Amino acid sequence: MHRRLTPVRYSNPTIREHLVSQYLLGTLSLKTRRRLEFLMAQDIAWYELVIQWHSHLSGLEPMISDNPPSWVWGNIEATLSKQEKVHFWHRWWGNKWPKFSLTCAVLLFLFSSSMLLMTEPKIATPSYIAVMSSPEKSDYFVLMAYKGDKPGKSSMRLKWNARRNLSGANMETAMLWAKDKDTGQLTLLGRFANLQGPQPKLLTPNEWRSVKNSSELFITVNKNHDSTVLFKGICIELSSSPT
Amino acid sequence: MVIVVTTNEELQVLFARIKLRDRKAFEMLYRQTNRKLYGLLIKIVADRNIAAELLQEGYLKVWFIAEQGPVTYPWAWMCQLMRNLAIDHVRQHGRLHPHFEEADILPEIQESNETDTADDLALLTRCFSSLTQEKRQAIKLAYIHGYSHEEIVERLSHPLGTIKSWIRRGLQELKQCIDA
Repeated sequence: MHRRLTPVRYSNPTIREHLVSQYLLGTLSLKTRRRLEFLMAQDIAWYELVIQWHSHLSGLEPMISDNPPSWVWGNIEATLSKQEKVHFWHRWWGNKWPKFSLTCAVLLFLFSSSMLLMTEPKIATPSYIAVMSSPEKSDYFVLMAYKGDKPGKSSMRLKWNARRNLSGANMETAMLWAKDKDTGQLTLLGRFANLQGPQPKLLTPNEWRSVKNSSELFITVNKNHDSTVLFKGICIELSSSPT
Repeated sequence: MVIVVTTNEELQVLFARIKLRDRKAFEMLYRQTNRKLYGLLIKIVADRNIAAELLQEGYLKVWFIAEQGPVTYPWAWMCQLMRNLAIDHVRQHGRLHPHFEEADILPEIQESNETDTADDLALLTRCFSSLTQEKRQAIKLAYIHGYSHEEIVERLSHPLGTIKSWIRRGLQELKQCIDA
């Protein structure tokens, strides 16, 4: 299911262990470290070794902690705000400004400048989230459920981990399920393929209730709930607003 | 639905939200992790101001390249990102205090354990104690203080081959003991 991009010479477990342990220790040369980080970006299996060695070494000595100066966060915020402003102008002016877009932008400015300048950009925050993992590999993708402003408007989105892919996996018939946290009852939420489109999948009121009351979400290979589980993840509530 | 989340699960959720460019989640991540990561940096660069600058650089990297970070292992990923920044700084600019004593620079800093459980910590301590003094010292200098092979050679006054061998064998023995 998971396509390995790591060159064959790095498939030797002893070499992998050695490289990762030295990476965690910090004794690799810069060139070797960059090479390893490139490999990690291609194949997340390296990270599973990293986490093992991190847990081995991080307990060697108690971590110390101290308050950094307040300007650290101040500078971070300022940099992010500056970057957002740059993106804003890139979006509006882009590379088509000379003719039509210039006219549109001026009109837009005249009619909505006060709103644009006074309203903070809103970032939709999911109400529920599940980090989906396969039996072999963790962290494939994230499912996020958003509460709608009225029944039937709630939705679910899928966000892929950039370094995962599903080549070789047959997802055509795969189905998404919610498991009730109290009764263990399973509710079918529909085809997995419906989550992969550009638009979020709208949830019926019943489906939304099922997500809300679920302990975990999982994806089976077909419509039979006893069929092979391809992915599953604990469903975590992010907001405690009344639903 | 009320789910009691562990710190690791909280970080996973925050990290997933940061991948969606959620600034509030990023601020929460900073609030929850900055003290430990600052401590980690101080141990390597041995200077609070430099550590603070690197901390700032590190969090900006977290924001801008979060897409590359694994959701499941955010803490390990962030620790290594900060460690690499600090090690690169030391390699490039040298150490301000080559032979500092921790007590001089870290008088009021509090300590905390990161290892998952008391059993894990006991096992790790037992396994690490079973290594020879030289191997323990070489591994600690590299991992805790970010010493390069050459710096360890200078500090412990042994040939490079010996130092490399201590570290390699020490890590192998540590893993064999933990996995046994």
